[in-house]
Amino acid sequence: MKKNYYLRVRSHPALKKLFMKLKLAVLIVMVSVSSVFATHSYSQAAKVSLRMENTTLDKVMDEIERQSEFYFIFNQKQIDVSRIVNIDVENRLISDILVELFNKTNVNYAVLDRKILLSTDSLEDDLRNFQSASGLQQQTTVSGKITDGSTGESMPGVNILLKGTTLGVITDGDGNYSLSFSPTSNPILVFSFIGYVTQEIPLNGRTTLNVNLAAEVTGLEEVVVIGYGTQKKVNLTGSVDAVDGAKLSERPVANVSLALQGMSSGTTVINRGGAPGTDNTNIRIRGYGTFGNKDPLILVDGVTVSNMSNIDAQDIANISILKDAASSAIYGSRAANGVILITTKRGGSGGIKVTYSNYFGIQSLTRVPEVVKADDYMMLVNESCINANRQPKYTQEAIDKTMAGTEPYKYPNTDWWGIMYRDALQQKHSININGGTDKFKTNVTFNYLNQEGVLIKTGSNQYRLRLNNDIKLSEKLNFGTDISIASNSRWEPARISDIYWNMLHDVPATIVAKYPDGTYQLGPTNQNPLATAEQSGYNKPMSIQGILSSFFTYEIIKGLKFTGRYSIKEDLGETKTYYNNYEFRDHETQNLIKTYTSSLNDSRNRNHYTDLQGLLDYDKTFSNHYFHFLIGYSHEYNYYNSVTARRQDFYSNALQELNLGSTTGQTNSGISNEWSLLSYFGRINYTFSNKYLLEANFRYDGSSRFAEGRRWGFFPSFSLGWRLSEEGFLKDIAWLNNLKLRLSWGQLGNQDIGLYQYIQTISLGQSYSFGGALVDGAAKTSLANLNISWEKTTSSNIGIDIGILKDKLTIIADYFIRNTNDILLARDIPMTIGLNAPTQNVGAVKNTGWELATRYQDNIGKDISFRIGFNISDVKNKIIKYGNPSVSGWNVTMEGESMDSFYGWINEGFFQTTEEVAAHAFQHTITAPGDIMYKDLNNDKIINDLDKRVLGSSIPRYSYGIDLGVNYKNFDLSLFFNGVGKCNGYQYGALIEGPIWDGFTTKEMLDRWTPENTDATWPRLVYQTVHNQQASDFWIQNTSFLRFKNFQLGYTIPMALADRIKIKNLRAYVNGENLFTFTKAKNLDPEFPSGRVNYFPQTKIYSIGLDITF
Amino acid sequence: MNKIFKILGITFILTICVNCSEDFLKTEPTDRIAEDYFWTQEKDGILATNACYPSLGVFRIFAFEACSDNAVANKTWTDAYPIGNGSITSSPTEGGGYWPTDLWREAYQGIGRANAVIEGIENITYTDESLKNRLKGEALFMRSYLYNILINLYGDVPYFDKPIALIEDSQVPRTSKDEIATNIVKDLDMAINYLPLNYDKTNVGRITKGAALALKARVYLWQNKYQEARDAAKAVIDLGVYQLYPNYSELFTYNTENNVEIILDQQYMPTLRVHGSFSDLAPRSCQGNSNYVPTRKLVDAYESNDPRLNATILLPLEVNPWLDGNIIFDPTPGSGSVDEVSISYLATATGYHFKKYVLKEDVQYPSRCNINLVYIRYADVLLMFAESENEISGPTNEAYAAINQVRARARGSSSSILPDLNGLTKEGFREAVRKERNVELAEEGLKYFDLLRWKTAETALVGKVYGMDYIDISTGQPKTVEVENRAFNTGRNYFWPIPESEIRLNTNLTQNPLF
Repeated sequence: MKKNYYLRVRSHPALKKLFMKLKLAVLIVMVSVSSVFATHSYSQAAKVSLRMENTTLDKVMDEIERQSEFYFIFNQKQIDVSRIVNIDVENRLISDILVELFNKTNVNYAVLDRKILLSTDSLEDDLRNFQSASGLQQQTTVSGKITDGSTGESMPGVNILLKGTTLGVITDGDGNYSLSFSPTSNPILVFSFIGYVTQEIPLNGRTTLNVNLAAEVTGLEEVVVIGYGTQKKVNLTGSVDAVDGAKLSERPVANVSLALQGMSSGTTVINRGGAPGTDNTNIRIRGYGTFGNKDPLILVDGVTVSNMSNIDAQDIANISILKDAASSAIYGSRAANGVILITTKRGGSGGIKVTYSNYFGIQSLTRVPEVVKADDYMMLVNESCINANRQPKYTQEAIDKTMAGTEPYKYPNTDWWGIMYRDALQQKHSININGGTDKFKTNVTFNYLNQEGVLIKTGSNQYRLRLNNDIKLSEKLNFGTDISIASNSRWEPARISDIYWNMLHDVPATIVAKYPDGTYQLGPTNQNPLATAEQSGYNKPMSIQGILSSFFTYEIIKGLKFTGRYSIKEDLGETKTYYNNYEFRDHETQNLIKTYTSSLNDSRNRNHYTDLQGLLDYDKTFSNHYFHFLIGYSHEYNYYNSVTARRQDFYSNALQELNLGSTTGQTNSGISNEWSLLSYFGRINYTFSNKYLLEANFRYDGSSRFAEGRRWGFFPSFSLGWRLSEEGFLKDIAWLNNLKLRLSWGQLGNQDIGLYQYIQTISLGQSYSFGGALVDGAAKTSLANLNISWEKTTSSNIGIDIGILKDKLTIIADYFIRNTNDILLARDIPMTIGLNAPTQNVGAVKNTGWELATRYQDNIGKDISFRIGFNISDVKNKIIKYGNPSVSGWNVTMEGESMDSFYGWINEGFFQTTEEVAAHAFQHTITAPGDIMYKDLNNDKIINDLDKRVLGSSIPRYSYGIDLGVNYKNFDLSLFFNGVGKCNGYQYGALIEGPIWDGFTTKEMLDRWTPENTDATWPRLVYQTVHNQQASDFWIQNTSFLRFKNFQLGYTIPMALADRIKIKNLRAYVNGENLFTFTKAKNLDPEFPSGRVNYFPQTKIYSIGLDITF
Repeated sequence: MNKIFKILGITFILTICVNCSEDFLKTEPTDRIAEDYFWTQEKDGILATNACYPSLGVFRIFAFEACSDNAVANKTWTDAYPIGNGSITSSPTEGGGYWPTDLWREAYQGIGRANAVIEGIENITYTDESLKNRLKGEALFMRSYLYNILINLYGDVPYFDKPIALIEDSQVPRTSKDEIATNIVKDLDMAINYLPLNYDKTNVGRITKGAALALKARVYLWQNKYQEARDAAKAVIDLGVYQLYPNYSELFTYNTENNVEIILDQQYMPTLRVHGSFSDLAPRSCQGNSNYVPTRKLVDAYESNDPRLNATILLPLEVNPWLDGNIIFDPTPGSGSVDEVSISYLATATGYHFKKYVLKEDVQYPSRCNINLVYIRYADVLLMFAESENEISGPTNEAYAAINQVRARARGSSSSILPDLNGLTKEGFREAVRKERNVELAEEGLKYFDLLRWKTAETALVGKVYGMDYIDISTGQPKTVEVENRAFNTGRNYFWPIPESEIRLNTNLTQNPLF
């Protein structure tokens, strides 16, 4: 310790004497003692009044010594007594005054009876010495270390107070503390630090107590993960949304992407339904920027992944969504659709914490269409036959008997949705071990997710292991290694897509699902969805993803760090689809109706990806200037291969390996491909006076997807921030703690096209046979484009951040324009060329939009805290350049219109009389009263392509989320709503055909047009016709919705109780996901994909769960 | 610790430097052939020629049959339906079906491949020049075959005799169908020179000289150039390679594939190249889908006791020939049978089924048929000869000989049926040839083309389509199954519409009238 210091003991001569008695060494030690509020009568009783403005600390201390018996002891080299202070207190305890005087300084203080010790050093040993030296009574001592709960770093300066007293200490530079006190019954320590959640922990006889403090999220000091680094939120100049991992991990959803719904303004997540173990969400950041892949780039701890399905929500520390070009340009050629950065939790130091979590949930369909009864169905079919001049299909007797329902196997009324869908169990178990020492920190999570599908015979099992290790090799050298392994296996009937088709199009309610003897009745097209589910065999895809990522950081000189990282990602996939050999016989006659033959498709694929990165990072502050500088290099390489083999006519359905199939007709195939990406990137930040913020990014990418000479692309971005709240003229407005303007501009790329597009290739496999033997053939199948290059997105953003009342209320608003040019597009080419269209840089799309996110959080008294969050965003999409419009069914892609636009005729209600039909433009030879009347837009007396127009778009507009949370004592309640203000969906297939194709018939069809019911909502039914089902606005639905997305009520047991049952923490909760949906959409969930109902439907889930920490 | 860093750091930086090379961005495909390497070896020419053959399938026999008055498409959404009943449209989205678009695309794909061979093969040196010529002949034939279908259906179409490498090169107007026909004949004449009369066993199914000659006859006949048509047909006859197979009912069986009557067919093989003729045509009771079923008009077209009726069509209440155990095929409305007319769109709409190409061997795997599909056979050539001979000089002896040869084969050993024709006027003979073509070549996809060629579609494809007779159970009255009501607009329906998308992408194209 320091030897040459000057000790100053003020005034009091008697006490001076006391100190002189002590040995010098003890004295030295004693001086470094600090921060103790000893419980002695004098310090608890003596009150001091001070009113001193712009005075030196020295004078204040004099005044205190003058007014009281207190005297100060300190090292003058440590304490700046000339510091100017203001103090205004009336009859206050010395402890309060010391807080006022030394708050936000590095000075530790201790009051020992009448002695006040000041020091910048740790004081614990000295305190003990002092106490023994003073001959004080034997005391209880507790010590430990305080660490940051999220980073695991030790925390100096944390205030520790014995509850109900003024006795307390402050942690030293390494986060250690030690506190001695006279034994009391049931002592409780209170740990507090600015910006962190205060914790109260009963001691229960322990002498060591290590504590992790959790950061209180209060905006300003929040640190946000950005590309290749972090940034204080307050210094952000781009548009970045940070989602706290804690908010995701609370939600028992199978996919992280589902938990992201409504969380971030400008990020629209649409759930298109999905089988267990699959992720079928569309994530769109700031609209639809291209005609190809619109998915954002997703990175987990710096490693690119194709989707979020291998990440467990509980592992996520936070998610950053980089929305504008300024923040995502550093990802250059792949960032045009936005970037999502997922950071997983890392180990903390200070003891090992083991957490077990689970939940059990029941899933069910969000919407079930209302279906007519079988007898109504038969009546409608008959009516449609008569309308088509056909014989009615069903006799009145059959209809009557069906209605009576007395012979369910002869005259059935089958509820197919009820039979095919079920309430399904979902459960998850997870174990997390977190902790370590200064030198070694680890975080291990293992979890298991089991999900039954709501569709019978479907389900999935997922296992995930994540191991994040940090090793401190020296003060300057840190090493880390992360391992993540995710295994996903799922199962479904082999002909699962047939099941949807069978249910809706092939099998009406008049078919018996299954006879008591186990046989099935087949519908008019020889199908039965239950039979397909139970007899068709299985499709079992399985995948394993392993990511190994190692990195080291070396601090070359202060502020200059080099980080090297090497990551390997291996994806192994295996899919076995076995089709059973089975036959259907007529239940009565036993005649063979249909035979299915057995076959097995067995495929293996592997994707190997490596990424080598080097980063040099420097930051420097001098006076009012702050510089940060980053330069990096990355080389990514990807190799994919797959083999598939097939055999048919198996020996037995029970023996499902290739060897048991017939060698006759066996086939196999194999492919491989590779790509690589070489990148240089950098960033410069400059901040002046914490007011003016400047950032510039660049990335220079070389991609193997393009021909030599067109490989390299440069993607720059610039952004500016101005913190008006730091300016003199706003500084005095007390309620406004943050006001910042942001401006950004940048360019991004998209290279996501197929591989080898610039090479003209010849495909083998155009085979033929001569004389009963196969011969190979080879031909060009697609036209190459040698000039192919990047898509370029230029995006500009203006934003404002407002923080009011110490960030109790925050508002973030943004407006942006995003232009994408040279969009890679396989634009239709004349078919006369005889080849598939090449990808060309031809399209252009413009997105303009705004985003608003606001949040209010506060406390009511000390028991209640609450938060209200709301975010909304909108994007307008317009195709600027496309070439010739392309029409596909009810969709059109056309310049000047939005993407995903509907296209068709405009309905003018129904024809009511034959005169009306005759007077109207010609539609179809069989048009008659009750049919939909289409508008003759060009008045040429014929309804054809020329009368079609754009009828809106299926792109959702005005996506919003509402987040409400209340904590009351140990209860926490959160409610989450999300919705889409404007959206359309197109219905097709059975939902609009019903009885006319012997299909699924919903109740709304009962209100069809008949001569007696001319005020109908549904056109007349004409058996096996399509003229009313043509693309028209009649079949477009308003699919805007408001969803009560999540409800969660949790209870955390009180500390005292936790302690008694020897655990650290326990929380139990009930949760509901997708509880209610308010929408005008009929029959289906409003997020249904337009078209036929050929997808696994959306589900809701009710669950209960538990988190226990040991 | 410093040492560790130094080693780590230096290794890392070295790795980065090594990786910096631009070579890392050069990736060559390993699962396909770059065109630069192609057109160098002898086998490349063979591979490229082989790749033309699947395009023969552009001629969809059963669907074309259902466009004619011989058959109907059972499912109203299938391709042949709107063509058969005249509601064909230029855009598939209007309910006019995808066929006009699909056929156009498939035909031009085949033409592109043929053009690639004709051009590319010149880069290859062959030790045996005749092999090179043969391959060229095959490609020339294929190009002719496809253009012929195109001009038959669409009239004037864009004509390309070289591969198109640039999109701009596709922006050409329509070439007149007569000019294309002239080019077709030119190509065929070359092909006739290059092609052999027949092949060894491993190459059987390749284009022969006879096929090129027969196609030439077809092309000329379509243009009403009877003399040229007659000469080409005569040339086929004079080759002496082809004869009528003795037994009509065995013509389309696995045992008789590649028989002496076959001039052009598409070859199939078990499991690896298969089609679904059985599931397309067979009744529901034996796992068929009844996609295309014969009409009453075709049933009535046969002369009494013509054995070809039984060889071609399954009539109501016949024993189902594909099932064991003498099961009666009963499509009678109200019978409750799975085959009951229109009980499902998988059941026949007329009460009849086709038998040609529906073979008992395929009953177990109805979608795995490999019976070769025949496009030109000798009987067709004989009838083409008879027809053109009659148009030139009336019913000559040669004309009678040709048609009577066909009738005699159909007659078989029985003498009381299908008497030899004689003593007809020119018009009478014309009628007789047309009737003979109808029944002899029924279910071979040719009738629709004949109707267009004879300009008789405007009467044949109009009005109600009927099926079987039956007794209505509720009334006890005899009734006839009615299927649909057809319409044919003479000013419009003799041609198919140019696909609407094609006109958008090539503004030099014009649409056919009234589309």
